[in-house]
Amino acid sequence: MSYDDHDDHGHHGSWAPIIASLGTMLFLYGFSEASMGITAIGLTILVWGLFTWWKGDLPFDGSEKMGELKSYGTPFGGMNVRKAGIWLFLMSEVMIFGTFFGAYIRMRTNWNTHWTLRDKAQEAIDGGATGTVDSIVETCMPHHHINVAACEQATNGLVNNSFWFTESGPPAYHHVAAEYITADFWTLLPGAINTFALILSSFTVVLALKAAKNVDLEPRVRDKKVRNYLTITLMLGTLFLILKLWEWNHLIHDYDFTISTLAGSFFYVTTGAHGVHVFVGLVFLTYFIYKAHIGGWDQNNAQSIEYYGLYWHFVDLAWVIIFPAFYLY
Amino acid sequence: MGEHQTGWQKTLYEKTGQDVYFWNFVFLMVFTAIEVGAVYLSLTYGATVFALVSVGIVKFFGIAAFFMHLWDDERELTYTFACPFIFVVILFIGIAFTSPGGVAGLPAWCSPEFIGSYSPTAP
Repeated sequence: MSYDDHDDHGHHGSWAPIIASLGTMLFLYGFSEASMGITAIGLTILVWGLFTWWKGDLPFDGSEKMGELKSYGTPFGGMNVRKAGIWLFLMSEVMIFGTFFGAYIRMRTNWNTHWTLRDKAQEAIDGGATGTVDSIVETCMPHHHINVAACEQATNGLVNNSFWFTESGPPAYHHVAAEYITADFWTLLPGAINTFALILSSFTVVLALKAAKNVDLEPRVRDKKVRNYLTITLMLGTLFLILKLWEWNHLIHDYDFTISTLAGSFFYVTTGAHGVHVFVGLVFLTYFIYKAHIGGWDQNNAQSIEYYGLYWHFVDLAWVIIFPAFYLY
Repeated sequence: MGEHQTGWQKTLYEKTGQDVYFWNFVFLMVFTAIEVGAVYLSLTYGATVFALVSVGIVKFFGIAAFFMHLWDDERELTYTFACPFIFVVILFIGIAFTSPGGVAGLPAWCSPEFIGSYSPTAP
């Protein structure tokens, strides 16, 4: 960060983000330990941290004196510290979602099903079935889907219906959410609407930023435009969460697709983590709308909307991968 | 932020009256419709995967390049964003090689038995 010799220059010395992080940690710890006391304390600290943070940000005019610092040195020399910071944060987000996808891909290759099936195929060959282990496995699971009848025939009845649909113990085959979601148009509709909603919300954030930077607009008109675009973004994000909860409810109650299954845990943890990101985005958006309402945005401090937009676009970006992988395939 | 657009983005704005963000939004909506439609067209397994992956790549590019401004911003930011993907790719390669058929299903020239010929019947 670039500090100069002028003592009257303030700098970004707020402890509020760290306080908010501490509150988040306590909140989640209390949540996992089922301790209402710790959860409540964590939530209180989190809200206090956010309030302090936002209170400090409200008068921000975009100047270095108010806290917009430049980084120096390689590789972000001359760049706003907050901009470099949000990109570094997004780096860590890529890793988080990368691990979710890694686990999911591992499951979708049906490695445990395959090994079990290979043992059964060998057993069937030893018992007189024709073909090789590979050919029987391919007959049973063409392109990672199952063909119960063909498999039963290829293994002389050894791998039958009970192999695929066990009542107890680990299931031999993991029925993924996409099988239920793509079953008919109406079950896919919430996910499809959510995809369109997120893309549209990304566009409205861009429009809000453009409006905030538009020096040709009257301040009142500009404030109104920024507020309206951000409000539409908030509504779309809220719609996303409502549809997601409706969809989860549908999967759990109509298809008995719960988090207790392997495929269910991957689905709910990944889409849930994404939903939490949307929720956090909406919390910050509420503050942004309030700031727009009191006329707090102009071309000098609009970069805050840009940095928020980077986060929001990343949430959209993650959904671009989650939607086809978890909902369509 | 590319409000002072130059080059093809400026030409696009002059010809259509809409900037690159608008057209990016339109393309993303269209490609999403294609994505959803591909699932209902009863395509083959390979064609469905191809459609989903290719549309996903196009949409990913559209959001990262234009909505996230990587097209116009400093290259260092693109490298920063690309960096973790190296680890994700390594992770995926590890998963691929340890999956059923991951090694046995490789082409002959890529298998341990490969002795310098593409012919599977080579001595």
